[in-house]
Amino acid sequence: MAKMTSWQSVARVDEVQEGLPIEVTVSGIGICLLRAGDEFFAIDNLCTHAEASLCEGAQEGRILECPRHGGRFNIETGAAVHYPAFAPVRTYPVRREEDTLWVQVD
Amino acid sequence: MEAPAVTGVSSELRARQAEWFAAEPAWHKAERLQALALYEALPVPDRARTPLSSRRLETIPYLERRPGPIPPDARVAATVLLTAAGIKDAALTPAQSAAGVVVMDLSVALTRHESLVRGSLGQIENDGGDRYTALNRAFWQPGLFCYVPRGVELADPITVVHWLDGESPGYLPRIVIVADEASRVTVVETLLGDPADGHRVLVSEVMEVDARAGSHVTVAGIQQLPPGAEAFLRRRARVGKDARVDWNTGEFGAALSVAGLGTHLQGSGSSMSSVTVFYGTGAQHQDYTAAVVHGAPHTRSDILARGVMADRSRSVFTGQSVIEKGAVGSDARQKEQTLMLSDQARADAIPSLQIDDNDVFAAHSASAGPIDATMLYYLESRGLDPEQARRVVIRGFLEPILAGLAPPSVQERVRELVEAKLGGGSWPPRQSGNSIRC
Amino acid sequence: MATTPKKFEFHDEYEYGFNDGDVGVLKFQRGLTREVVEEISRIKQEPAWMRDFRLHALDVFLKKPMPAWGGDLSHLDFDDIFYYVRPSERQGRTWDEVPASIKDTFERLGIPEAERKFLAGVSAQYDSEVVYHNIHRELADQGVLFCDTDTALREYPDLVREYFGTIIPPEDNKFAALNSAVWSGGSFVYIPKGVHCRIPLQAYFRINTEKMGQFERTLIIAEEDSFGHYVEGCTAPVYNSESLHSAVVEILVKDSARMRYTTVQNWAPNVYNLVTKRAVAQKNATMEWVDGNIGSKLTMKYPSVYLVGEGARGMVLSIAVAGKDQHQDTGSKMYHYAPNTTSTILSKSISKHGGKTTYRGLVHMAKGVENAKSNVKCDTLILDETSTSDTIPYTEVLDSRVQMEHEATVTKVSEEQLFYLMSRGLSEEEATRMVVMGFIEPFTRELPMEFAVEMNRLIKFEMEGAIG
Repeated sequence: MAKMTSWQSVARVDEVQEGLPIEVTVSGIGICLLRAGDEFFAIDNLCTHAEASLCEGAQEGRILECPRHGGRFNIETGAAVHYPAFAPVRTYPVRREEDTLWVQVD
Repeated sequence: MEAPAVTGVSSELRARQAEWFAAEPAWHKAERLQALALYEALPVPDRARTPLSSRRLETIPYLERRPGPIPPDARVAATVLLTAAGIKDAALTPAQSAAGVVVMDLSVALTRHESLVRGSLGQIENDGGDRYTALNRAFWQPGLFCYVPRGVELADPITVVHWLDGESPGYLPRIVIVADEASRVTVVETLLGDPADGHRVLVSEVMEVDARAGSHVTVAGIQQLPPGAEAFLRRRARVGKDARVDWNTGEFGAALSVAGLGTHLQGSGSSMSSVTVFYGTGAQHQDYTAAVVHGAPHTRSDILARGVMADRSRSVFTGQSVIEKGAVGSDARQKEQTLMLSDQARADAIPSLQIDDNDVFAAHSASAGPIDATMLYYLESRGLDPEQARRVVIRGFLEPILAGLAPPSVQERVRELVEAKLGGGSWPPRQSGNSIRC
Repeated sequence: MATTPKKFEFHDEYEYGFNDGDVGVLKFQRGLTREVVEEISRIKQEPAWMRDFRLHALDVFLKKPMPAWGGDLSHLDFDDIFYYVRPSERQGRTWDEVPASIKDTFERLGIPEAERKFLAGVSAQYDSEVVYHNIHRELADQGVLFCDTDTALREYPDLVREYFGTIIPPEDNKFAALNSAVWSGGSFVYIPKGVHCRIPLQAYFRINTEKMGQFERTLIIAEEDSFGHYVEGCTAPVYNSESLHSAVVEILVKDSARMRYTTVQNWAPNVYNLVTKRAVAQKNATMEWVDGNIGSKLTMKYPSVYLVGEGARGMVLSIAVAGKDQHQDTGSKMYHYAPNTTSTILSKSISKHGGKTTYRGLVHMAKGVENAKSNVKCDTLILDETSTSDTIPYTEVLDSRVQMEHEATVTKVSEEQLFYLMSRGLSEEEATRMVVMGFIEPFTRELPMEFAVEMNRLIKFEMEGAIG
């Protein structure tokens, strides 16, 4: 197994369902964990527009809509894909080790 | 008057309250109990620009008592030392004692100076909507009571040192200052402690100041808390006719600081000023609110702040100047400036005015920007290396505010802290020897 | 409800392809339901995607809470509003029913007779046929498209579909969702690449009865290097029985284009005017909002610019006058999302006779916007002791290499100025009026001339009785 020094385990795989993102905290940073099919993604939980909580938004595949003003992000690249969001949201590498999800935060 | 019966609080905390504060008078125990009910009903605050949920504040066991050791010469030069273990005897100067100045444990003052205390405690800070304020009201300890009699003018400041011992997970001090008519007093409080390798501690302080008619109170607060502190500091004043309160604050430490001052200019002719310096480094988050309510005619307020944001730090500065209807002839001003040193830092400013009368003057300004490149160039062309030049510019930026800090000992201390931040070395800065200077 | 004989004609009837004889009894109820929204879409014969868009927006509207900030919306009863009034059912009003204060204002402003009847809701046709056709010939020469949004949806469906709702999604806020569900009327403007539109595009000259509809939806696209100036509203008070007006304006200003949008709003004092206006400015583009708020019971409006391309510029010049029982809660939002962008906001507010003005603005400097600059100045005059004013600016700076400045003052009319003017023979009232006119001059000088003249007259009128 590769040494994962800046990686932290954050959740069990079954805690993250497609369409039901959850928020975890890593090094004091709120991170939104999402699932699309069999892949997992991690982004900053605060929307770049007005800092609403993204994990409370609506997810459709790889697009997440912020609940407060409807801005949308691509959860894989972090890019904003619809106004009023414009600045990209930070993404974090995610790994799955058996039943555990790990996120890398430097 | 009988306080209404309080039901629904958890039996565990109720029992803890009853045990810890058994010796207090009944009226105060009842007020603590009401505050406990409020605390339990309130969620972690939802502050727009200071995300608190990811800070996991409630995982800090702040209501457990685990006092740690205090350095032996901790009380050097301070009037009084406050720690989680309690309050160490006040050391007044002969002049202060002779004048009848009172500086004592607030829990003793509850009985010995009941009417004075009851006139201020929980009356000046009475925000019923904040969890950590309610926490302090329910469980404050240590507490300090200061009283300056009528007409007494104190030349020497009353200095208060709060020392966090590095083991207590919570620190909830309460300070009540009553400056009687025509008195003059300066109170300097310094918050610092054992760095203890990032040990997390929740600090919730409340200070209430009653500046009675004609009095002049200067309050200075130097916050240089250890890096693991999550601090909520609230200072409030009620200002009587022709009285004046001058606030001087320096925000340098803690991982999180949600600090604020609120001044109610109740008496005509009363005034307040506030000078704040904040300097964020690392991943610090500094949320500062300066609020004033002009509730009477011919009142003046002047709020000044300058901050430096480096690394990944973040500041939120909120100014709230309210002029109520009838407060004619009032004048409210705010000026806030932030120097941004890094592209990872963030500075938010919300200088707001709420004006309900027209025979007044109100103004505010806010600005943010980087170090002026031409100034750097000029200094470098005079032989300074880039780092030296940078420091000269930053010092220059803060200088007008530093020069306005009072008293001189506070100004000196804040300058030292600025230098420590400039140096970029370890934080908090090392004290010389083991003593805590203040 | 009394019906008065209809003396007017609506071109819409024919455009919608039916007349009263063909349609069964179809009377819209008050209140907002799925049926109302479906019916609106059906009557307009909209494509399926727009109907679905409306229905989705309705869901969003119903779920979103009311804003917890801003003006007092507690008396706004969503169930007591007609969300769509078919032109043929529009209630006429006799001249006798028009309030005296409104007639008085028309008199003082020198509004022509025909226009008065139109504005007061007595007559629905503005006798501007000839002018209208001339304007449209000019525009056709340049290839500029200008019509109402309903027509645009029919005649330029691909163009509309590409941009509609992309700048302000229904989820943006409750009132944008409402508009998205029940919108009707509004303007569609398309200025082709390189075209400098020679004449100001005035809402007046759309061929549509909804000159000042409740739920206007405006979409403006300025292609690269183009220029246009859009003007809406008027200084005369617009009387309307329906008390909720919720418009949405989306503007896209592409590379090196420039767009100016001038509004003077003087809705009658029963109206809640809740508007979402946003422009996106791309590389080296310029967007200017010139916004005058005189009327309504409550206006909440924050014209915004997203500066997304390098070198883009945004400007907001606004005035707000709040009199008795009025609250103007206005401002702007500037988002700097690219380097070398600049924004300026100049806001002048006056509150009098117990009115309240609130400036609410936001300047956001994102990471990476090297050399961005913003300058905001808000000045407020409170004319008497019963009036109030709030100034609540938000600034968010996430990059060090920017300049952000904000300044505001709140005062009464300076006694020195008054003294000086009165010593020159002016009465206190005249002197105050002069000071006020000088105060708003930076705004009035940007207005098209006839607007400016009307504006000056209106302010003079508003200032009466403002002393003592």
